[in-house]
Amino acid sequence: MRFSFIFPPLFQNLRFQMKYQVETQALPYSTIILHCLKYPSKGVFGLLIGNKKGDKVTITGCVPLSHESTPLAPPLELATSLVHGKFGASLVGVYFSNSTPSDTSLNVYATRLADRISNVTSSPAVLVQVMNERLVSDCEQDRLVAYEKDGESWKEAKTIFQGSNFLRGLQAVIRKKLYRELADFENHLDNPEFDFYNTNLSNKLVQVAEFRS
Amino acid sequence: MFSKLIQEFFPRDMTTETDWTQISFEEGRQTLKKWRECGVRRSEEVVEIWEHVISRSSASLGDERWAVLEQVCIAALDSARVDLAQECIDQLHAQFPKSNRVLKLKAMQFESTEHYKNALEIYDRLVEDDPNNNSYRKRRVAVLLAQGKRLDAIKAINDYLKIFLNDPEAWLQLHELFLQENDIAKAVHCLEECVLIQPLNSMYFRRLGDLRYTQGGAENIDYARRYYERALKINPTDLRSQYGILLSNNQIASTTKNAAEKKKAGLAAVEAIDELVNRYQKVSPQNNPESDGILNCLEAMKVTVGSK
Repeated sequence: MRFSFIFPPLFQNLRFQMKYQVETQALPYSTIILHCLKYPSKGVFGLLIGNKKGDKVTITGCVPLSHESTPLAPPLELATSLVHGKFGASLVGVYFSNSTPSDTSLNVYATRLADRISNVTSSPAVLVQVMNERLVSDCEQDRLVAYEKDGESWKEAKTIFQGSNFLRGLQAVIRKKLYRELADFENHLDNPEFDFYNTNLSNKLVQVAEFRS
Repeated sequence: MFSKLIQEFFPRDMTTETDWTQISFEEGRQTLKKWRECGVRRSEEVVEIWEHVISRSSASLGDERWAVLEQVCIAALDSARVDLAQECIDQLHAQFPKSNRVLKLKAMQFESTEHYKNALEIYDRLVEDDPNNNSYRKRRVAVLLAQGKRLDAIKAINDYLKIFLNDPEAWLQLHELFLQENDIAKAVHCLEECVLIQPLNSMYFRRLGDLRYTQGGAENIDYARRYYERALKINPTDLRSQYGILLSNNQIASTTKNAAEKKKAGLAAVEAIDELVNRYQKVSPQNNPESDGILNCLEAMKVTVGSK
């Protein structure tokens, strides 16, 4: 994107020959944002659940994993095998957010985990990054940016954003401070009473925000 | 890092959230005290307790009031409540006009508005004034971290550790920075220093296990297993160490060529699964409706591990 001024508009479409279009549904979108809000001073990681139809990836759920920028292999391996056991091929990718607001770089721990998931499911995984600077409450923009693997590097994929339908609901959820009830896999390891699939929270989210799935 | 502490302080049902705006004055005072002492970062809740409960009759706190104001000020800065932070600083400044501690809060206020240069000027002055107070030096590192200057921060912590060698918090921060630099060997070294300082803290052993496991290779996995065993001995209820024992033994069982070693590791892994199953059977399905699913996964794992 940085170089867009160099290329005449004609070439712009050529530069972005993207394979995937990624759409994140209201519930996982909100859960990811809540995960960030629960740990405002930290980076977060999680797994994405969804389906692939042709070139379209629809994210239908997510599983929050950890709230550190450098998660180590053991908890990630465990969580991946548990989630893969439960969802199988519906495990489609990874989401993450960096710990400082202006840092938009790709976290190597995230790309590594995404590569691992590609191996486990033998299908290319997508990577979704939260743009921290867009986390302010009245932001109408898509806060998520998706990436797909292109050879050895990751490049931006197209996202489909239907936020206008659910941002109001998400705001109601944030006002109710429901992010405090979110649990990630690290919380679960601290105390197994915490459900890192967030079953109860998801029900509440649907109720409060009146999401239509 | 503080999760264990939180668990100690809140042993009752942790999965239901307390409404901090509805607690009694005494409960609020006690909670703030606990959080102050264990240094847990729950800024938003601190502000809530202050605004809804304590501030209404803060005079009855007596001398504790100043410590609370300092705590609330930092929490307010952390949760972007500029107005409240200013209020706290004004009150503290009126009471202690020449205090360095209040000056530090002002510097932190500069940090929160990204005026890093002004903040650093104050910290430099404070360090000069009181070279033995490590908190000012730590703030200088925090400024570097906030700006994303990772390598400068590593250098600054190294300088700091030349003076304050026995500060586990600094070693932990350094270990995290090395991890971000992808240098696990150096991160391991930092954790080993932590173990030397606090040999009975199970978290350090467990973390060392995690690091060695991440490094991989037969020797490291063996180290990892021993670290996990040690961590579990110190803290027998630690779920992470139990999982660590399962993972490392499983890894050994599937890679080693030594038949006796393979068998031993396989048995240890099965034993770890049994312990985990025990633990999960006590989980209330109301709090965690997915615990049954995890139990099934563990049972399935037991079959595959057992067949090795």
